[in-house]
Amino acid sequence: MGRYILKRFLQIIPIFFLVSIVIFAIVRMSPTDPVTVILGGKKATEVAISAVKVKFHFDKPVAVQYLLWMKGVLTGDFGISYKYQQGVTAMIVGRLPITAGLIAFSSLIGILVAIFAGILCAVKKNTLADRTLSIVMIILVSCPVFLTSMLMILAMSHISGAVFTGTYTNAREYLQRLLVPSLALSFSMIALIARVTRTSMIKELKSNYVETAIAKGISGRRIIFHHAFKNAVIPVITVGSIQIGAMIVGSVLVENVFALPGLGSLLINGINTSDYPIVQGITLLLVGVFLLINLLVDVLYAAIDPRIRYE
Amino acid sequence: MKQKNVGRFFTAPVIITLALLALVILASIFAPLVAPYNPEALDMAAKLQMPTAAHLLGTDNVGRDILSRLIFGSRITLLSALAVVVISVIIGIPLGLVSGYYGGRLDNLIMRVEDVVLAFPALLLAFLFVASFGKSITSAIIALGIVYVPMISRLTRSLTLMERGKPYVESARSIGFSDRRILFRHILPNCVSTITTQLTLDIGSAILDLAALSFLGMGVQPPTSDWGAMLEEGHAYIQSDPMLCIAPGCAIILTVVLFNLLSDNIQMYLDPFQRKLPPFKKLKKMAGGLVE
Repeated sequence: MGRYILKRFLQIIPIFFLVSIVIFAIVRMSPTDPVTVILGGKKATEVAISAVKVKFHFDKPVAVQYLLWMKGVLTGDFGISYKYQQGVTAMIVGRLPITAGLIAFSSLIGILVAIFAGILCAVKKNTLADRTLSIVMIILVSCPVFLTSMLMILAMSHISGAVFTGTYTNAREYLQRLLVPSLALSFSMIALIARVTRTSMIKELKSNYVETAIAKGISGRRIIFHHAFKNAVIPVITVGSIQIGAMIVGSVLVENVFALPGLGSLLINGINTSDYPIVQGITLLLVGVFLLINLLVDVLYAAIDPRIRYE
Repeated sequence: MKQKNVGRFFTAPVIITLALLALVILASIFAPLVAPYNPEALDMAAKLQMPTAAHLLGTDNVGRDILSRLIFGSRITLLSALAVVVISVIIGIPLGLVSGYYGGRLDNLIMRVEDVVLAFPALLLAFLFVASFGKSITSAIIALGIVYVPMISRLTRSLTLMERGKPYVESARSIGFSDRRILFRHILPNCVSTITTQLTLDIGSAILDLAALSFLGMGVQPPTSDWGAMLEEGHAYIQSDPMLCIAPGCAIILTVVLFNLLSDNIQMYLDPFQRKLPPFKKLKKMAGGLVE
């Protein structure tokens, strides 16, 4: 198992570096001149301009700029923001709790509700409950997350005293701010995972070993959770892991609608103001997290199904 | 290719789906004839009206008729979604064919390049593109087209891998047909039906993704607008005048549901007995476009 994890980890490293080169290259191709962004569009003297060029390493060749950036990233320093003139790392760390919490909570809600709904549909296949849930799921799948978020705001505005936007000062407020947005973000995950759980469970419930278990007189609940679900879980994990990638981008949209101070709103802000150190830093961080989640899922597969390790 | 009874495809739900889709598409083609008002006509005296007989879906914050704006907006929404899919097909299918047919180093190279694109979660690469090459619908379309390439390419690759060992490919080769002819005239037609299922689904995801980009101000730029941009304009009025968001929101949901249903039905028709789980790639694609 340890060898398998190491092998998968070593495969990720070249992809990570290639991605960092792609990010750096795309940002450098922008027609916007970073010096103007840094100086805020004001007229500046030659001396000021060259001082800026030295400070942000624009006087060096592009390859050296990339290496300096990468060296910084690997030591935890994402550079200095053009607009705010402060360290990007500190800005990212300050905004991390919102985004991480949003993704974690919504995944948790999503997975729990979806698996329950999916199993319910599979067991009650082709009944009214199943049909209704299936229709609801297909609508949820097709609903953009920012629309769900706005509708949630609309619904919440009728409840007096509900506060769910803006900054937070303590743990209780933090949870209050995150509850509604997490719910909004989890809907598409619920829809997708429930659909997969349903199809996967239906297939397993038809199999011979379930029939044997029924013949042996094992209780329905035990058959569903101990026998069938264990076998049905692989496709569910696959879809769940892919969905987390979509959640990462979804959180950008949700933060935007709810005006939450997270990484997503910082990213959009960075894009709007051509603040490239922020844009490249956050993008690389999100890609890194996404790659690590994929690694984790692969390890999970291998733990569940040992055959995968020897492929 | 096995002959199938085409009549069996047209079940009642499929006919309803197709009819509704035709309605949406016809309305967007004949927008100037169908729309009751000029979508740009301002009427400050009649701003923020609730639905009335004169304005079936009400008016927006500067008195434009929401129904007319929806109908005209559908042109940009549908056309740009189509453009995204066309770009991904033009690049993705040849890549997939070549990589599945030849295998070896070329295949390896193509796969690794696509790995890099796939390492970006969903829309993130599109954000980066738009950030760097300017906010316009054109860069949004190109960016999304590129983001969609790996999915199509990998689907085509896996289908090509299945086809290339079959006797008809071998006989075509022994007759002395060129590789290009074998790939595009023999193998590709056998993959088209499965790829079509995926493409139908992709149009739905492209509508959602483009709406997300427009919503963040990275897609269409004013004065033109699509459904995503209409949602963005409505965002500020969500509590006082929810109709501004609900109308374009329902339009998006309805259209995407129709494309999803169509894709489901095509798949069920192609594979009525083995339909247990959608293929992995399809799920991956669905997931990519869903959250937006």
